[in-house]
Amino acid sequence: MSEDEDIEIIDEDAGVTGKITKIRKELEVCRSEKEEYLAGWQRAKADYINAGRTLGERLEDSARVAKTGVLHQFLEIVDSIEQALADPTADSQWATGVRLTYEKCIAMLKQHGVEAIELVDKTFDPRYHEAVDTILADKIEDDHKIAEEFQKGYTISGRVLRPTKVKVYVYNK
Amino acid sequence: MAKILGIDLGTTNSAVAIVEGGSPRVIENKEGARTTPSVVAVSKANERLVGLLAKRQAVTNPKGTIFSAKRLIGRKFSDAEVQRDKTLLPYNIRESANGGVEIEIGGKWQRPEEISAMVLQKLKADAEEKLGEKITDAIITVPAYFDDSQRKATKDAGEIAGLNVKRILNEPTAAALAYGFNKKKDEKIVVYDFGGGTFDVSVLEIAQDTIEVKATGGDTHLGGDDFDQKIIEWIVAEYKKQSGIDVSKDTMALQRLKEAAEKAKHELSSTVEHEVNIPFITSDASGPQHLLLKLSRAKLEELIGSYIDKSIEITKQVVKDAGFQIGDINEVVLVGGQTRMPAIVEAVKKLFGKEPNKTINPDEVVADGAAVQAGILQGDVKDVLLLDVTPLSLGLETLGGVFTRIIEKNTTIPTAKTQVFSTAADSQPSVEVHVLQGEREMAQDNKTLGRFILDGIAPAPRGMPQIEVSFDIDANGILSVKARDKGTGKEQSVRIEASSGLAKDDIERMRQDAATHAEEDKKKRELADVKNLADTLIYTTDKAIRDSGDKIPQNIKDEIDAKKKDLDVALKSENVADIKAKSDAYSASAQKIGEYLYKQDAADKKSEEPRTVEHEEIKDDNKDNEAKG
Repeated sequence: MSEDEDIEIIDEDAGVTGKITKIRKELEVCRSEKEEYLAGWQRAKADYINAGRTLGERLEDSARVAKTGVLHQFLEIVDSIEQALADPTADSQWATGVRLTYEKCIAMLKQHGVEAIELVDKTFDPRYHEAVDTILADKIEDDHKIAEEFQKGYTISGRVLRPTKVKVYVYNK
Repeated sequence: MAKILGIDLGTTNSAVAIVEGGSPRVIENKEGARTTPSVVAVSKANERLVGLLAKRQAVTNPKGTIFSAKRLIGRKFSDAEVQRDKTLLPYNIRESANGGVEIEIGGKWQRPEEISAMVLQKLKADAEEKLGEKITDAIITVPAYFDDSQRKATKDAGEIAGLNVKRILNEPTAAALAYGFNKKKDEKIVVYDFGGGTFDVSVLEIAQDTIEVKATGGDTHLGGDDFDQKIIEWIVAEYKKQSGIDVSKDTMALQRLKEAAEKAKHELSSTVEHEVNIPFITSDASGPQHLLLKLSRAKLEELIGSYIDKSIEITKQVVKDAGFQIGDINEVVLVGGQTRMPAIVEAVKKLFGKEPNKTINPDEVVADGAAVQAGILQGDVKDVLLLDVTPLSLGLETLGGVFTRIIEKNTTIPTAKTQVFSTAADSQPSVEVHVLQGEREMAQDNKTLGRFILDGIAPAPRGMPQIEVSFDIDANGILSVKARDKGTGKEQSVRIEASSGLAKDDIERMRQDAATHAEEDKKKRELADVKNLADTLIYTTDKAIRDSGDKIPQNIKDEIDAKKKDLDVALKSENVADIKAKSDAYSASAQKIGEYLYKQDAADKKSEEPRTVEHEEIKDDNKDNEAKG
């Protein structure tokens, strides 16, 4: 083998051996550096491709977040109209106009996938409701039932846009 | 290699980030939020709730809802802090067998680290779902003042959550890392962290490859929640003064008021006055009542001024404790949502006499920094792969002395951009490529990096030759500019070594220059643009007259000529509005050429129309024939 022969010859000359050992070491460093850089390069390229793939998703996400933000603010206006309609002193013809406006708002919200959270069996569920106050319950079966709705909650395409703010019965006996 | 999560495990909220392509990105939780409340609860049905859901049910279950576990983690029950918090926390805590703290949740006594582990578990699970891969490693941040026991307990919390905690990182250090300050040498940095419930300030010193915390201070019970409370109190008092109605006992009204106060605080970060407007807040015998108040930024600052003053006093003391003078501080970093308030930014700026760093979202900067540290550990951010950006825009001079940007400032390098240009005159034999750097609109105001001439362009009308100019900057900032005539294939290039060799001060000066001259530059640029436009208009009109002059009636030609003289005068006046007006008038006259020519053409076509119909009929016949055949 030529490599063995090389080594034999080199053995005769310590200076050359040293040189070759040094070069071998340098080569070793170069090789490992090359591998490291190549790996880094591949990783960067893969990251880039992957980022491109998820970009669409993220754009959709940010569009959703932006829309959600605007709709969330809009709910505040809907709340006020609701409060206005709840007032019994309002003149009926005028109230009808406000009610129609309110219905337009709700229809617009619906168009964007926003729907009111209905209190079905009145059991408090933190996935949809936020407790802001409690009231003592007389009966244990009333425990964690909703006593009062303070502010209507809404979902957007199935996700909670704003939880319903409620007062909850708590049984403590 | 799997990703290492960077986790900011906060007292009130937590956030998670990862490094992607060398830069950190916060990951949203399952509910779609970028932060998760550090709250854990066990419901009566023995169901464990973490984060937002736990927070929503807190008032129904005060004893079973655990928040601020970070205030207890790794502490001795006998600690003064714990004794103080014990009176403030609604849930039960007791001394454990080894002198630590135990918290009662769901009828069981658990260590604070077990509670924190539940938060970490949710963060881990949500991140895994979002990233679509399993996460095993994490870096968790803790306040700089945490002692060994608190750090150890935080690490344990991570392990309980199934995370291999690669490192416990100081929060201020993370913030400094997020801003890349670890690359600076011998700098002193103050991290001012005003969160929802706590205020922390730290002084860091950056030495060779290390960031050392020199001193810390703060107030564990001072935060933005105090601000909100002050605003609510003010609104209630003002409304009472105005209407005589006390809404402080009305849960429903108070709820809307709380939201309004928070909104006012946010709004007043960008406006100087905010209208607190809550229609139908309540009703009494006289009918519905509305709340309408004006809250000015000045008033808000007066309300919370004492809190800010307190934080500034603490900051001064901490700098002193670190053994430094205020003037020694090189950088100030703002962390925590409250630092969005202009009054806080101003107070910090006034104290240090320099603009604090606030470009990274203050709610996310710690998580970002933890991810940066994770990136360093997992080898994502190797030194060789730390990519620089071009500090200033690079481009060339085009018609009218305009600076046309090819590579915009802050573009990550290495990069290459190509754009095609053309000649400005007929039969132009050569083009000069004048390479410039800067942010000003006109070439003469920017720095010349080099210039060369590409000649031998074949004679052609202006706008016809295609000269492809490419700018290429390598990773070392060396810029190569090449121009190639696509027609003849002739090319010429220049190599500029010093494209990014500017000192930081020079770059800053050039940017400042551009900002101060922005208005004047815009005008100059506008003038050059309208002049160029007028020039093109004259050129194309002249050409149209040359090409079909004999077909155009003399009266139209005379009109155009007169308007051209007007435009020439206007061009000399350098008055933008005048040039625009005269260009429009000239253009309107010039359009008569086209109008006339098309009318002529249409008239010619009209006389040909019957023939066309005949032709079509013949064609149809042919078709029939073909079909038959």
